[in-house]
Amino acid sequence: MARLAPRSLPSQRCPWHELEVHPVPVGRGVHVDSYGNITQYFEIEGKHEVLEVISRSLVEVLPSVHPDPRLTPRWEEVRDSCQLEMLTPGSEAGAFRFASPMVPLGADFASYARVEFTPGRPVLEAVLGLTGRIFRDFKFDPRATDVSTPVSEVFKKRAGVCQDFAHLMLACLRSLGLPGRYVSGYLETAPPPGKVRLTGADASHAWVSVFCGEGAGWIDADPTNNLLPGERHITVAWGRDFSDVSPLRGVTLGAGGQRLAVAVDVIPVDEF
Amino acid sequence: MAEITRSNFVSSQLQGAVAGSSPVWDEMTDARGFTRPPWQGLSAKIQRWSVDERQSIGASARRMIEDLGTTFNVYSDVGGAGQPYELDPIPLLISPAEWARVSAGLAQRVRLMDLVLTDLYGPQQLLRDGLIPPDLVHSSPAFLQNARGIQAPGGHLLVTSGCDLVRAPSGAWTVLRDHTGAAPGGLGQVLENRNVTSNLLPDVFESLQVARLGDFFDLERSTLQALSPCRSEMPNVVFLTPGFRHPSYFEHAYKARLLGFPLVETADLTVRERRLFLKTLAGLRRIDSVICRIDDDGIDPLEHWVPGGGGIPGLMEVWRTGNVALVNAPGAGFASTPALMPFLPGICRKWLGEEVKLPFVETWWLSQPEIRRRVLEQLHRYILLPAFNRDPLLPVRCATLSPSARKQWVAAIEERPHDFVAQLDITPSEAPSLDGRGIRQRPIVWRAFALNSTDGPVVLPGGLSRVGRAGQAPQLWPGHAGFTKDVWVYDGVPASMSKPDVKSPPPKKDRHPAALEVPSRIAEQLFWVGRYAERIEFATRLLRVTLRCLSGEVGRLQQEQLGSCLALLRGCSLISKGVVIHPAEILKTLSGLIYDQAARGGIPSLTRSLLRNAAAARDRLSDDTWRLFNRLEGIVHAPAISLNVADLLRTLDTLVLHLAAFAGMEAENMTRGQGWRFLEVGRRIERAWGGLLLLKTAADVREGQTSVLGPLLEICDSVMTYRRRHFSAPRLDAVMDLTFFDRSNPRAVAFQIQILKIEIAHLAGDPDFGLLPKIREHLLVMDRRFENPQAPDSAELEALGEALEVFSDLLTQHYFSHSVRRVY
Repeated sequence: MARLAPRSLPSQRCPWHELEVHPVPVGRGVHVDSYGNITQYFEIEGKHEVLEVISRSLVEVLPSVHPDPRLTPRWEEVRDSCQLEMLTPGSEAGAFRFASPMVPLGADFASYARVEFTPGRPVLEAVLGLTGRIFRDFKFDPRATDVSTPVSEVFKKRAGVCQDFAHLMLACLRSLGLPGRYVSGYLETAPPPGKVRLTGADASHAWVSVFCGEGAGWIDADPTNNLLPGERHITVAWGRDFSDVSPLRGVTLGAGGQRLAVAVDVIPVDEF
Repeated sequence: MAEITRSNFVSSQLQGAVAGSSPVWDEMTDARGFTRPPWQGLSAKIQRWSVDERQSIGASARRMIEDLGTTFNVYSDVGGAGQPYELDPIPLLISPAEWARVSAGLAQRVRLMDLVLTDLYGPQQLLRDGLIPPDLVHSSPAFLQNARGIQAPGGHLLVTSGCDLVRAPSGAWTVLRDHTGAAPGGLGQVLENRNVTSNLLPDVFESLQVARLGDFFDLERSTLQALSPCRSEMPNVVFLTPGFRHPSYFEHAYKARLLGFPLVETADLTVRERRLFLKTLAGLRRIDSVICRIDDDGIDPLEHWVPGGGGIPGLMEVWRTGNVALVNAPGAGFASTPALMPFLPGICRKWLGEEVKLPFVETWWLSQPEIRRRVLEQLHRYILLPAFNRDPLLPVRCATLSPSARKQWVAAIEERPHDFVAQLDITPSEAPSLDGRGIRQRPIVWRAFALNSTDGPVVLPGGLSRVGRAGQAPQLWPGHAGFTKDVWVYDGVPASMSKPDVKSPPPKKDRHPAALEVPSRIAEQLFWVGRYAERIEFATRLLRVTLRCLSGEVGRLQQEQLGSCLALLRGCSLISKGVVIHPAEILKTLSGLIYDQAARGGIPSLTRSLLRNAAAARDRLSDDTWRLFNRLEGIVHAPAISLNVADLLRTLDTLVLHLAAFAGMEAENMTRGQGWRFLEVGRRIERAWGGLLLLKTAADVREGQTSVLGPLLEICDSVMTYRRRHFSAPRLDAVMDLTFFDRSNPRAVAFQIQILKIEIAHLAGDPDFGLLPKIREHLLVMDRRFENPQAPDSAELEALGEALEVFSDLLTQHYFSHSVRRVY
């Protein structure tokens, strides 16, 4: 089951996408999941030693305009606006305020967040504060965690990777009652000055999206890099946490070990 | 504006809710102390029971349930279903008028619930209309996001459901709890209770004209068949159970047998090209409907990933594609949350244009601030329930909380209010109950069952009455089984009336084609039952002959034989090869192999392996066989390890006899179906393998070779034949003749290969397909060895043993693992 096709958004268009699988699958299906992600299903029958999945997409990313953080509503106002008695087109964000399989809630997360979410502070300003705080307090260390490390442990170790920081930031936001989504996608990395772009050097990435009130809507924030995503971030899928959007999930039958290798290339069209 | 909406919620939720107050309703006696008329016969009867009679009736009930229980229950040792439940032989009586009210109310509730689920997993208009607070759906882990937007084959998300009812002090039956998920447990139990209770009270049962239950199950069968997306005449339905370790396995096996659908586990099913198949010996068989008794998070690891969780990869995709009906639909369990209860009357009014016909116990979801405030003011009146999660600390009866505990709960509610539901602390009605030697008044809850048939909801005229302890709120009763009684809807509800809107189902074919097929897993398990039974016998005989060398007078011959026996034990890996055993330790080592539960390769561990495989193939073994297996375990379950040779020999003799009894049952009582063949093939492979191993070890013993031949003949049970033929001390060539070449000796290797040839020819499937030609070829090569009169040497015997293992692996690949696809 793959969630590898980039979404189409106001700030992003995906006119072409192709998923190539070797060996050739015997059964395939596509559906849009309840969060609007394109989900592709395939089955492979027969003995094989290598499974190759190649996802190719043409994506157009438009510059996104962020509102002035100081002019966004107070965070408490956003929180209260989500506690509605009935669903309205603008209040569907409320669905992302609760604990999910990989994002627990708790008083410790809330108090960590409150340092930035002081009473009356504009929501986006506080979000930027929290993004920076996680960036500074936590060390990027791929050996510290794996896919299934719980957020509580990341919180204790003060180390992890993009997935952990996204989950942690969601735990903080939701523990305050604010809606937050997990975003899975790609990041275009710039080659060091004077160097050639290396094949496979870009990364699959994860960040969060915070609901900042009806006017501002959802605004992305990247705690791993301490910035608001722009043209270098390509959104593939979103959900409550990683378990809703893992790029590739499957079951293989057979004995023996397995090794996974992932490589991402984000190449500007003019360099292609 | 928001304030108005909020107070609307409060008032609309209050309508239909029933508040409790004393005194307790008595099922049998009215307020003036008179026995209610329908109870008079029953009351007179139970009051006439002497103390002895009470005891013997209680004992009969227990024995009958135990008999039913042992039919399905497996060992606690194997992690099995444990204790059978208890039955109270005094039924609960329901009048025709009450029945009419309750069944109409439940039918409406089923319609309503199905509507709610269909909307929530679809357009979610209920959330937009404000009839259900959006947070109730969003905060619930039981709401299955992946099931949104799927058009359920058959149209209904909710097909089978249960409902717990209590009788309020006013006399009205009132909803306490709904069960809409994978396991509205107890429906199988209802029939067992009916069998036992009607047998214990036949005259009362007849005179009350109790409504019969059979039609409901016929209707259930035809409904499940009708749901199938392929409208063929005979859709294939399977009953999916989590397996024999599940506490309700007993009931699953009973129910599957009753409905006539194969009982399968996730490992039996496989997805190919977005269709669901059952792995059978004959190949893959397409499955159209699944009665799914597995929790939502365990059905498909692709979509609900839980660490270590099992499931059928791709099942959700098959369902999404419309290629299989799942009953109940994944995600239907969401409607079980008590948090939904207060919103149902409003939905019923708006969407069905009716008032709810059944009242419900006052219940509040604490997420809403106004409601929370009101409940917290009078917290002592309520029981706190978990809204969604299985919180191990809940439910909690607030009236009994200490001030500090109360404070902690209030804090927890304020911190995560959406996780809590408050339900009124009510006192259910009481009915007489036979409890040990006395008849006591005990509180009861009636679990009723409904079926959303193709022609509308139908309610089972009866159900399960759970019996609680006086003074304990029913929300706190244990969730599973416990003490139950039968429910009798009396007076003139003839069988045909119990399903008023429904035409009788079409006559069934005698034998469903799928019923004749053996799932691969069952065949595999029977194969291993055969192998383990034989392996135990082999070890038992080997240990017995060794122990005999230790009894009586110890002469030179016995010393030599003992040495040879130990060589055989080493050769067969019962004793580690390199270990030298001090003569004084021999007895202890042998005793350990017989009694030590932890000894690797010892008889207790082999017995556990046998039982584990037998338990998983339980519905293919007769009750007598089962009883025999039951005893096997007892034989080697000594309280202390005995070091008395005579005791040990007696144990081994008993084992040999029991294993012979099993072999006899297998030979005389089992139909020669595919299952039997695999059991037989397993036994033959193991016996040939054991024989080859013994002969190889004997061939390896160079000095004092004659001393090994005596024990060898004994293990092969060929002493008598040898004496009759040879009148002399054993010689290797003559022993080899008898135990290797002789096709007329059922213990000889040649005999096993001959039987394998015959059985393989009868196994299912196209003989030229897959690995079958290779399997036959392999056997022929082994068989040809017996035409060469030259006695085999050690290397040859070893090679034959390896060839046998290859043969066993080929069978496994072809029949059990389906690595080559064979669809039919």
